[in-house]
Amino acid sequence: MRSTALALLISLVSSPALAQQRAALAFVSNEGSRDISVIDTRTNRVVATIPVGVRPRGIQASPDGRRVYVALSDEHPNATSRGDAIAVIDVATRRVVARYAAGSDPEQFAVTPDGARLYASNEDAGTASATDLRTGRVLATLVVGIEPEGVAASPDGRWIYVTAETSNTVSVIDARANRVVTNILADLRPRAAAFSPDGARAYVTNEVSGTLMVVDTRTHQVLRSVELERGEGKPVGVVVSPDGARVYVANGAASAVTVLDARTLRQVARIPVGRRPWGIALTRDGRRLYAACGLANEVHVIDTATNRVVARVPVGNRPWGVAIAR
Amino acid sequence: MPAASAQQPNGDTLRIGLVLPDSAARTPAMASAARGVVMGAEEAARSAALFGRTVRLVEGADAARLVGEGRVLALLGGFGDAECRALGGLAQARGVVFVDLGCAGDALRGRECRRASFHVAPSAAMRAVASALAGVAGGGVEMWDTRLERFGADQLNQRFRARFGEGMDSQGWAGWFAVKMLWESALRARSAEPAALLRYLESDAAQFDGHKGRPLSFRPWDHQLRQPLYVAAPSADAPVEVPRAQPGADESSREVLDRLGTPREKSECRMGEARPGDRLRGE
Repeated sequence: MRSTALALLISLVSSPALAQQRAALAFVSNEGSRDISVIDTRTNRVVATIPVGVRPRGIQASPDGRRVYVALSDEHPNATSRGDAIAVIDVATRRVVARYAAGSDPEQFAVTPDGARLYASNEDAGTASATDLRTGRVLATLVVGIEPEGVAASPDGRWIYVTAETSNTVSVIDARANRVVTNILADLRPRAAAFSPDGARAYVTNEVSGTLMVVDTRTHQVLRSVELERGEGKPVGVVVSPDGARVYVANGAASAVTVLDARTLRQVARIPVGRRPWGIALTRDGRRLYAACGLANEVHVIDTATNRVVARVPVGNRPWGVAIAR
Repeated sequence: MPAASAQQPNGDTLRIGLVLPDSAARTPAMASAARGVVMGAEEAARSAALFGRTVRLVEGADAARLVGEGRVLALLGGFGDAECRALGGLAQARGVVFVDLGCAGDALRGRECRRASFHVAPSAAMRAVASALAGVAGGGVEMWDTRLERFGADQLNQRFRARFGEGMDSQGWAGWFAVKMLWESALRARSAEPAALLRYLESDAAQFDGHKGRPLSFRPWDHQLRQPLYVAAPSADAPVEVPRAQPGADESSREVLDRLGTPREKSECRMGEARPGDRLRGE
């Protein structure tokens, strides 16, 4: 009895060694309530709420799972202030431990696989900025399309893809030189991008066309574009399964997640979820998909083996994005 | 009017002509449209630079001169049906594209339609249906509203306000959209030749984002832009968007938007019956 209590007490004490044994946590950015909901993925319950005071949107975990980065914007989209930043949440203590400057109105970003750099889109400036995560210094500011939005880093860290909603473009940044090497013409209002685990393909959602576009990352050429939900789904979030076999797309207007065969791009399942799913994230083993349903104020959890919703987790107001940290 | 640079090959430059009197003689609607066109051209130039291309805007009151010396491939303007008739005729005769920013006349899309003319401005028929659909007393029918927020509308409104110190209205949106639409057509058609632009604009592939949440396109039978409109009552907080999709109905954006205006079977436009001698440059 006593030893059980002691064991419990020890397990509650946070230490790096024990952090590896903890269940994965899902961090959800709530744009409306200006906080972050933390969901324990074993119980699918909210175990903490972290206030951030301003609008949080883009959210990503560091590769080692110890930190979660979240893009914060103040109420003045065309001016840089203290409110515009990338906040760093320490996963163990669930506290904001640092803030990085990332230009004005940062919305989306990607962390390089080595965890060393962060590339963010500055929506109102039409730029993407590269930040050194060790020093917090902005290394480069690059001109991309108008109203940049989605940012994705290739698994080898070589390429950064940045979508731009008004220009209908995807800018390709060579991360070794921090230069835009080419621009890809997308369909209407490209939103999010995701690479396949082998890095050979990139998938881009186009909100107004209602399409998913596939890019050959060797040539940065569009291979094809497929309509989802008859073109009316307003797709936003996209993720690829760890084995590369499945692509998941959140269709905001259709309140459904589409599951596609990555090879044929045929729809293999359509999963109704809560209203306006935008941000989606997979657990590292690919067995659960978490979808932030903005107008339902819930995160819906999908079992990817059965393609069914297995939990609905009430979170804050207007959940926007979700990131899974170990 | 700046002299055209002879070194610029046409394929890399889209030259657009805005037909307007001098600033002093402009109505508020013309001034708004001009602001929209200027911002549209600035943004199109930024987007074009990503692909090593150029967008050039030339302004003047003399449309024939813009087409001749200015070497424009498209004319923007039209703030009264008579002017749209004249500009549509000139564009047709000289083999360039004309984009109507402000004429509502149904006949311009009907008996008097021309293959070279494309109407961003909504027709009187569209306005009438929007008004009856909306159920808002005393509301004006608009293409745009400074209070719109969804689908990046807030971004567009903020960009316009930052650029000009005032809100974007319907005419501002029409001017901005017309340039964006022309530039994207040239890029996707891989040609800035008027004939290629026209063929692209008439094709099923031609779809545009105007920050209204639906793909916008031109009706092939009368070259009218399909677009949601907004009815704003003076007392209301936010404008009402029309048409709205029927709940539960499985309609495409095109089907929804075609509820505004003249359907194909009722159209009096005979686009294919171009007069002899009517040719577009590049054909």
